[in-house]
Amino acid sequence: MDPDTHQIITQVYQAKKDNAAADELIVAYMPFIKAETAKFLNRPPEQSDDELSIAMFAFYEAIRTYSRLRGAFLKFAAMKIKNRLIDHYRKEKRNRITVSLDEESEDRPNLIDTIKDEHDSFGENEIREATQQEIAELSAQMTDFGVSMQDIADNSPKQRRTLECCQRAVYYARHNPEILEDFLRTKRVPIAKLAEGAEVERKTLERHRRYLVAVLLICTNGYEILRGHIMQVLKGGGDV
Amino acid sequence: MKYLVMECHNGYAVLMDEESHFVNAANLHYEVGQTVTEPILLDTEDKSKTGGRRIIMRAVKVAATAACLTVVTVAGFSFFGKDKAQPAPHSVVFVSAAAEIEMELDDTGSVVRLKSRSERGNEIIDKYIESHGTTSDKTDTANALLETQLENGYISTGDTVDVLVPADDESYKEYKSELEDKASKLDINVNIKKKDNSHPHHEPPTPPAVTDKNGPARETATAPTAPAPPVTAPVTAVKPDEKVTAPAAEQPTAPEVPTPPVTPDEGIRPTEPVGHEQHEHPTPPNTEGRGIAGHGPAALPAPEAPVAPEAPAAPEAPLPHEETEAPAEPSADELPQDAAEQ
Repeated sequence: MDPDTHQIITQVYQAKKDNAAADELIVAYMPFIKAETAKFLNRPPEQSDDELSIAMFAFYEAIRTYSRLRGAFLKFAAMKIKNRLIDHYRKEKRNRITVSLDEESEDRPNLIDTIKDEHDSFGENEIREATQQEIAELSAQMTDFGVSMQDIADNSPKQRRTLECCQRAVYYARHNPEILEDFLRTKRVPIAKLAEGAEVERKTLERHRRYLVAVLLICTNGYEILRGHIMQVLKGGGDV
Repeated sequence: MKYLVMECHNGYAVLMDEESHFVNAANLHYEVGQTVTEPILLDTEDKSKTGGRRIIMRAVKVAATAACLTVVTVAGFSFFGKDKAQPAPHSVVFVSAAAEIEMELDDTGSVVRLKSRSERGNEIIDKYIESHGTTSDKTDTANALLETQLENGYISTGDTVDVLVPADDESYKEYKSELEDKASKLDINVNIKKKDNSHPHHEPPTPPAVTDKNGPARETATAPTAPAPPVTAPVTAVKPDEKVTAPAAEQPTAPEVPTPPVTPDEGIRPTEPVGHEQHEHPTPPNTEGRGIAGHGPAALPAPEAPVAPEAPAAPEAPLPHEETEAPAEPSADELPQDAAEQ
């Protein structure tokens, strides 16, 4: 096997486990990503192009799903990028009839200028900053529990039934503050109590322990905005 | 659904939806804390498994389609091609007891089908199949049919039933004896008869009954005999100078020339030549030309015109003329010269 090929496969397999390595690999192969995007756009992509962001995402997707059995990584990544860009093109094609509010015209002003602005930009910025602060605090607290956002995304339930089980456990913990206190104090998810109180399978909760850490942390004090975002779940959900 | 951007990376972003579902999505210039609505989510499904599932699903679809096509084809064939699929029977044996049942046989004498035109007969057939199953032996089948009727009370002991066997069946006698042997055990009188129409499905169409003797077929048969007179009459009348020119040599007797060509014994006048149209329609009895044809075969009896002969005699018409006049007259080559000299 070619040493370069061997090296890139090693890097890809390393990036599968380590998000920082994945970011490094993406940065290292940016020329390749831009070249593939340029093939599709028939022009060099700019940093602000959505197509370039989608191509980078497709490259990351290729890292996550690559296997040696699929052949050369770069060919596989090129195929992924091309498919994603085609999907994006088809999706955007449906919206081409829609007139953009920001579209400028010589004979008429921008549409967005004719619409009454009911948004409070200043208020939105404040809320966004507060949200960012909450998320930063949550990330820091999650680090104490030994989990990252990417771990939670990977450990998040995929099936509706599993998600409902976890939501039932969170609902039970929220109405039993002593469980949350034990959770914060011991930094361990009380799987047994949750399973017994919420009447769900213990194994199901164990499989999604990291996900439960994030949601249980959000349920504790200090994360008002995040709790408001998932209020439907914390109220018990539609099915709970 | 709204997604809250939780974390941003170079190639992707971590979002949280309103169901507390954490997902990876494309980072379209997002910022942490931003709310987005239609992100491009990461497709992390194992394609190998999905591909296998897809192949299986495709195979299942193909198999289901093939099964549906087979069912439709078989159903359509059995519905529309029912009569075509079943071969025409070689012969039919009629078992006529409580109801007439047709037992269709193939060329080997095996029973291929049982049918009846009456509801009762169909009931008997159904009961026969229920009780005896199906067999291809015609003697056993006929015997079992009678037995079924006897068991179910359609006929009683001592009754007489008719079995019509095709008369042209080579094994008629053998079949008759076999059937009589077996039927004798049932204590009923089996009357086995020959049936004239052994091939009911191959009957030639019966010709329409001829009611009139002067039918068109016979008229056309005699039609060729008719054209003879026009030959004779013009020859004698228009060309008297060939062989009949002898009278022409004898100038004084010229007016008598037309008479000889016509058969004197029929008494036909030469001054009335039979036209061509008349010969095409030989039926008119008053046509005198038919008398010429009277020498031909009497294909058509003509009671109203007993003297009307037939046309075949027409070629013979010149003969008496030649015979009567040729010996007395010089050769045809000499006649013009004589005439010129005169």
